[in-house]
Amino acid sequence: MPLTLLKNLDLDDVATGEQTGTVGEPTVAAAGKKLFVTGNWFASMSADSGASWSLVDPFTETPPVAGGFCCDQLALHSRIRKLWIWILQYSSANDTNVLRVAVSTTAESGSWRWWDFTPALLNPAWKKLWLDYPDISESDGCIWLTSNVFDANDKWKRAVVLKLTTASMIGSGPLNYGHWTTTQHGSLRLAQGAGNTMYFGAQNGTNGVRVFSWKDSASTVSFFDVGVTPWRNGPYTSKGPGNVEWLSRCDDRITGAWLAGNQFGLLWTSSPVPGRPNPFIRAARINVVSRVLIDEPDLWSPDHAFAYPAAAPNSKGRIGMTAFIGGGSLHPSHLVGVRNDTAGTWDTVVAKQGSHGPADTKWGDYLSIRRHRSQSTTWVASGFTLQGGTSRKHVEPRVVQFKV
Amino acid sequence: MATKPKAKSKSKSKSKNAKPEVMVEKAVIASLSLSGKQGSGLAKALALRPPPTPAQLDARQAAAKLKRKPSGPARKGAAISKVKPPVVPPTTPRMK
Repeated sequence: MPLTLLKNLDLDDVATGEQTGTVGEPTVAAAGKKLFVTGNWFASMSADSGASWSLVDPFTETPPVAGGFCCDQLALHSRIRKLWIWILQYSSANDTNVLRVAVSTTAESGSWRWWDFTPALLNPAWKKLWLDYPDISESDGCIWLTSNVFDANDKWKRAVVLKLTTASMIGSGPLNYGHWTTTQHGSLRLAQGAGNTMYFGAQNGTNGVRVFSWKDSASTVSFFDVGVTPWRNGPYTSKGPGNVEWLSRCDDRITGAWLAGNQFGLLWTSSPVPGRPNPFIRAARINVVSRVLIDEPDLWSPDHAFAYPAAAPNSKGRIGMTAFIGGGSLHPSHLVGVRNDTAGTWDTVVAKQGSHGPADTKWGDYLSIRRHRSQSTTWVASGFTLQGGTSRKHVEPRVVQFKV
Repeated sequence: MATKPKAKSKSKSKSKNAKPEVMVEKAVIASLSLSGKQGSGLAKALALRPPPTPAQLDARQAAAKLKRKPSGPARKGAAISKVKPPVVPPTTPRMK
């Protein structure tokens, strides 16, 4: 089934202020002609479908807090409240930090309001802890965040889920939220495409997953476990032209999750297993009603590695994905695709081939893909490549809108 | 202001048809007032902390760790010999 790229945009130095890095972590939100893109260490807004961009500098757009703006960012557009949401992670000061939840009706500079979350705000006993690796998604009535929580020695302590009532994010009233925490599972990944219940996933060892659910209206979290085919978490290696490594930083945490009907899907990067000679995208689809594994539609190649996948359903329930492909004859390159259940394949297109691999072997750590809010049968995905060199300044973030 | 977290309460419901068991845990509900008002922080932010210099960003790139931080509790790896054959035909990307 042909896959059509409606837009395939490069963000230039004006868009990013040259504030780019090879651990790029780009995310994108789209509604109407507006696009809001975040990445290390920039944010940028376009009001004309990507024809021009304005830097919305994460270092200065809102006041610094804790140790100042750090790194991880996320962009989302709320389909219900037509609200732009921007998550910013701040560096630690006195062994704790802040996740800032900023909102705007326009995504323009000067329009943002924000709330700051710290571990101690969630629980006064959580002192000397800091938040890292956030994820974001939306259900009918809530905005959802997850984050890992580490101590001052970078030891993982717990993960948290925040449920923010979307209606309370508008106006000047207090933000209503709930939170839940676990010390058993980390790097919780939220489903894109949720209805009135959010689903999120985590891994049980390297041969199972835990499926969590939390209704918008509930104050309890439910979960069940499902076994899957074992995978491997390292060693990760993939070398492109010139023998340049790009996956030294990779691991197996879940980077993509979606809900389409009763189907909850998860994607992550596995290192090679017998029959799959390169790092590949491990996939698991689970029926949340029968609680059984549906299938495991991995994406792998004998010639290249795949890594850092994300996925989301469009309004028809088709699953779109974004990821990197590299190794062998390919420098790290940006790939988008759609699940074709009729053929039993992922139909994929390389949106942009990189011209180089990273000088310091570092890539990652995540991508995003969303259903376009105004053209809901299409997807908008983020990516990046290196163009013309190996340094962070040669990173070229990108936005791809596509359909089948 | 956040309420104090409530003690975890767990309940189990066993399925009759071999479905995985469902567990339930309690969450905490709270509210939080705005940290800043619309646009009010911009001028102050610019005054307090200018954007980073290219050299500062180069340092950030250099400081990024080769290995990411752990994502959860230590876990036992599954034996690789137990890997099953692919469930679906392998696919390769279509190059454009």
